[in-house]
Amino acid sequence: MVSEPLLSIRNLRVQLSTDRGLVHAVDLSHLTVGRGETCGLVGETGCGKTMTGLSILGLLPTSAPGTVEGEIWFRGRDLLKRGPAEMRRIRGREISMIFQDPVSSLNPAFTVGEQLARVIRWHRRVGSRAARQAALDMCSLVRLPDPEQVLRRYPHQLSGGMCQRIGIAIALALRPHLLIADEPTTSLDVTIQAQILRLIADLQDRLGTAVLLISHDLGVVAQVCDRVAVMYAGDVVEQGATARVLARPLHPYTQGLLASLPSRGASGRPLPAIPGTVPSLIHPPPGCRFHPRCSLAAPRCSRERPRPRAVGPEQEVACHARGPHEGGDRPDASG
Amino acid sequence: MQRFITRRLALTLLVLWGTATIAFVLARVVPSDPAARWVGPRATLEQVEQARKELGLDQPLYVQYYRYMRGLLRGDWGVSIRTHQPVIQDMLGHLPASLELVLASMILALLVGIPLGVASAIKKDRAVDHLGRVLSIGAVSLPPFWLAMILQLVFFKWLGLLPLGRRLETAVRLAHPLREITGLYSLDALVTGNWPVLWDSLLHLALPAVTLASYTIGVVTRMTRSSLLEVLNEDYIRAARSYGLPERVVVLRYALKNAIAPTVTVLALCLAYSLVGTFVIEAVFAWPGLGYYMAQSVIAVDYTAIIGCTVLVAAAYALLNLGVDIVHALLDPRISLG
Repeated sequence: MVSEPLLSIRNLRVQLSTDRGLVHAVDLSHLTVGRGETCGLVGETGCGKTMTGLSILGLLPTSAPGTVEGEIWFRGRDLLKRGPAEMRRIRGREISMIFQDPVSSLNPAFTVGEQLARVIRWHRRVGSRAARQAALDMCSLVRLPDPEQVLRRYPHQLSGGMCQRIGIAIALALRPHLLIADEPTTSLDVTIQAQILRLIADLQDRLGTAVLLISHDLGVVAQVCDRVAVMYAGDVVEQGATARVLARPLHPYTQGLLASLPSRGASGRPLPAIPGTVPSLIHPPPGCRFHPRCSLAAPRCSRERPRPRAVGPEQEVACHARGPHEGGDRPDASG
Repeated sequence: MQRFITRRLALTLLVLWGTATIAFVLARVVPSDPAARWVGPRATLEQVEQARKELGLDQPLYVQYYRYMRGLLRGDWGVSIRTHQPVIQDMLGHLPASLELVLASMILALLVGIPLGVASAIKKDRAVDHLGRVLSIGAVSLPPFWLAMILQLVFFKWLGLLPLGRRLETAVRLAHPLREITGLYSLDALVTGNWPVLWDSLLHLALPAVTLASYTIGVVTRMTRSSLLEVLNEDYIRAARSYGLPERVVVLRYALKNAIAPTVTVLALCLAYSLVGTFVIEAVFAWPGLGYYMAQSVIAVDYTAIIGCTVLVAAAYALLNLGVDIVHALLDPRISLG
């Protein structure tokens, strides 16, 4: 983080009012994504990863009215202070998104070609022929075989992998600075997953797009991300260079998450699990949200929210039990 | 597509056969003597016997049934007991008036119902939505004869803007003779460039069409609203917004094309129902349509006319449903007609 980062989220609080009560979906102290880098945002289902992604685009669900506070700085502007018209210009053109379910994210009533061409026509103000040519170019960029044929198809006639390639083509058609990829491979077969991940990584190299990769899968994040941010119950508890965080996790939650991954060396033994369950975001625990499940919990943890602190040059952790002096130590990860 | 239509048409014939049979049986079990009605109240017993022979009512029921069915297929739907005219001719005489009224009310329902439904969905729980809710519930629950009379009171008696009933002013008709092509006066006037008749026929059409449309407007508004609200929660709508597409494209193109199918269905049902379900409105506005004709036939126990109308309505329902299925397939490529 030498120069100013592309995206910098500070004190983002997202609250949604639902039938069951006010959900404190996101309470994120800070998260950054640098130019051209791939940042992984990992955590369990329901910890606020997708909500964070949608808040960047200003697209929180209309079904649950809510409030968004804080700052989301992107290329020198606070996105939370932009009007709807300006956000519409930013969406698709500067920041775009690909989604977990590629088939249902495409409109079933239009051919994929129409959908791809419409986005290009709208943003670039070009005619239908130019848009069609650009759509064909995008298809070859995302390595879709036989683009002429594919563009004439409807989403239900294509496989999940092909739909995700179309989704990527639409998202990258305007060469955005930032791509938010929300579990882009979760609903795909394992072999297709690897292809799509490789495609995203490859396109990122060629186009210089930064990627915020939202995933619950540490394996995926380890494969492609430069940096990783671990999210728990609405906040980032630890972030830093992927190699460093995965090799030397400092937050007890990150340690638990890594320990519960099946590894080749530890076959035969049952996998350790983090005790307890994910807290309700309607009544989140006071202080550190992880303290009810934490083996290192002290009285202070249930009173005071830990602030993120730098431990070493490329790692940050929000935990009372971890001080800056621990940056170099190998912590006890037997948990 | 062709195979689908052929198969559906064959199925439609089966439905029509069933409808005609049921109508035939029902008309025969009604305790009434068609022959006596045919010759009138002052006829002698011999004359009634004579009429019974002429109408074929002296034959066993299965012979009557066979003759009736053969006639239906040949386009001879029998002679009306009441008017002594071929039923087909009677119905064709009343059909254009009905069609004009029904089509006008459907166009009205589309022009008001769909935009109101879309506005209610986009501005959910805001003023427009509440207004739409009140309007549609009111429109659905008002009895049509009451609404018709209130409209007459306001627009004819108080404001003097619109005529009380009938399809054209006699003076206008005499001054500007209308060349009938379809029998829908407004359409014929438009095609032949007969502007005074066009204006007059539209004035006459206004009140009955609004009365008939009110129910459909209510249903279409609510249906469009709920269906659109559901679609607006779909993943592809969020995705379309994330691509920076303007709301007008997202709602009116991406969402509406997916949301309009249920509206098409209720619209077709309302249309088929309106063909003969409008006798109250037709009676209030002295509108010589099919509903009026059928109501009179029922009162006169004119069984040939009753069966004729029943078969016609069944055919209208069947064909409109076929049309709805084709429209659905055009809207949603996932539906394959085969």
